Amino acid sequence: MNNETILQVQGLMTEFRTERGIVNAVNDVSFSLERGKTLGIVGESGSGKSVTNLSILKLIQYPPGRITAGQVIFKGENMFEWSEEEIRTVRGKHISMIFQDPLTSLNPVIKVWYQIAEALRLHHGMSKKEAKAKSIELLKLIGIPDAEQRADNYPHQFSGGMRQRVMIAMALSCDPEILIADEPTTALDVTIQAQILELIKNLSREKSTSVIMITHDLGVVADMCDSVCVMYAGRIVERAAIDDLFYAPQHPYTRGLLDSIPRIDRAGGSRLHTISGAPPNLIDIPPGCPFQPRCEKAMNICSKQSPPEFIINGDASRTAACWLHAKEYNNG
Amino acid sequence: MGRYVVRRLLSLIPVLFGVSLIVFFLVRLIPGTALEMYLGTQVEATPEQMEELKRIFGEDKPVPILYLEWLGDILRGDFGYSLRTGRMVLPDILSRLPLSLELTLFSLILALLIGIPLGIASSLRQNSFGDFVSRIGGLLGLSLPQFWLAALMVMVFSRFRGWIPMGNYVSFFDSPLQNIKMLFFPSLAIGIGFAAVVMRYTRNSMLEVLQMDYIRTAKAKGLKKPSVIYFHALKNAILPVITVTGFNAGYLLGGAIVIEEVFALPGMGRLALYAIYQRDYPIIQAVVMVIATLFVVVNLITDLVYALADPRIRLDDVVR
Repeated sequence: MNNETILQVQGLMTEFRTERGIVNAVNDVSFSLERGKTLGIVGESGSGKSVTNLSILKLIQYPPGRITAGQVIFKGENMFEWSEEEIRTVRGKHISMIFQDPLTSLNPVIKVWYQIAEALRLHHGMSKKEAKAKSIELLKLIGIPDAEQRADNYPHQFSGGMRQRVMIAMALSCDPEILIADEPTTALDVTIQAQILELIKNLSREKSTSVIMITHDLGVVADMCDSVCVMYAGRIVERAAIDDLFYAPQHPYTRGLLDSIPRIDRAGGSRLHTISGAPPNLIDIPPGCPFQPRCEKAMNICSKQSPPEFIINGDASRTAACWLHAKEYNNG
Repeated sequence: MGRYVVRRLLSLIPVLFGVSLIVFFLVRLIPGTALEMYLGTQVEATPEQMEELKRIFGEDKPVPILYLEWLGDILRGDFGYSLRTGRMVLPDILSRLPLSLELTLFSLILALLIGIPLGIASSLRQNSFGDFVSRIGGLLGLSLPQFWLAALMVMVFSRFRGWIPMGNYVSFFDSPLQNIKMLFFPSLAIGIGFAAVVMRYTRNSMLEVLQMDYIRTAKAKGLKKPSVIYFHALKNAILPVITVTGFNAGYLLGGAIVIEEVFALPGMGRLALYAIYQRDYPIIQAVVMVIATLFVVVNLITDLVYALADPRIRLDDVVR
């Protein structure tokens, strides 16, 4: 298995200027994605996972959003040094995205085939006719029945699951190297969720597409990902290979998340665990660890100084940003 | 679609019935009857002569009876004769209708040509100096009365510059250039207020649409900025503009009535205006009926255009 790194995000900072102050949505986030692998980014709403990924393609709307620091290295080149025009040629061709709500993410007044064909015509220079044929082919591939007829439909004539399939066809039309899926199943029924995940899994495996799977659903992570980053308040608090995360979580937040999953093997009647409190306001992040007010294991230092990412067991891809691991850090 | 059009056209019947009722009684509420306006204050007439005049002017019977008679006449397509000229009403109106329609259409086109591009430009540079200027301009355009603007144009462009050709009206089909020259400033005077409305609607609608998820999708596909803005965004943002255009087409027709007078254009509006001065009831009534019909037809056209532009609307389902 070759472990070529295809995308590297380093020290990314993204802020939003609002009337109440500056929101530090993404605060010094770094991660890397290997070719053909699936990386999960988990976190609750507002933890900065979507903003992180929109920042990669510079799709943050300015104003109010602004990327203030960091690099995104795609195949050895820092995309943040490129012009807007150069980044545009990467979008949809090399790196494409699937969004959360397929109803609002598809243009309501443009025919389905045309929306799929656009990227093909732009990036592959296909004629309208070729692109339409290819779009119908893609619709068949993603499992739309009567694709020839349905191609001329508009998004509102499709069901939620079919719309998300269309989004997938659109994103994969140009065989991108990286697919960023931003909560692709959140707006869908549970039965449809499984089908959509299966579709993404199969298609990405076939073309060895790398996937960044953004979700708040640990079940999705377990199903799809090779490795995981857990985000909290705009930073990555823990990163791990998939098995390590579920069997040996190191950060109290991750542990809290895992304990909050209802489990079939645990005795009934016991109350489900919850993490008390609420995520911090990102406008005035207090000094120290952002999770400290909710943390069961908070120590003195936690409220004073923000923990760096400590490497665990000498493996650079296994980290936890928690003072509990300071000793290992000092020793190792 | 066809069924929808037929149903909407059938709705003309109750509308026109209501309008006929209102206009017939309303024009008779204006102080001074047609006969009084005709006679003025100086003329002396014997009682016998007065009786005869009253009969000619249709004032010898109670108003409800007169209404029923008139209704019967127009159902047979007879709109009667002008009380002043003695000419048949309908041919007079129909011969003047094309000018009024042309004026309305030109002002509509001008307003859209001015309003939509300015609205788009403004939305793309929200809160910039240019946006500010065009919004102030929009406010001014809305606030200036049409007749004042028209009078100003006549003074500046006609008297001092000679840009507005004088003389008799030339039909578009006889001499397009001369026709457009004649109608450009009148159309501008009528349309400028509506251009401001269009500009503001386009701007607000674009600002809203540009925030939508599907615009982000379009950008994520790598589309170039013009195709994101002029295709993905505008195709959605234009929908409210279509609606407001439909509402305002009737208002523009009303504007034409006054402006025709200022520019001395022989349209239907000018005919109506003189008919009102002279209480020429048959003409006033017929003009209002024609305008009401146009209004319904314009609204129908608006709905059809809207259905074409927005695939989510299916007209056959909307009909109650």
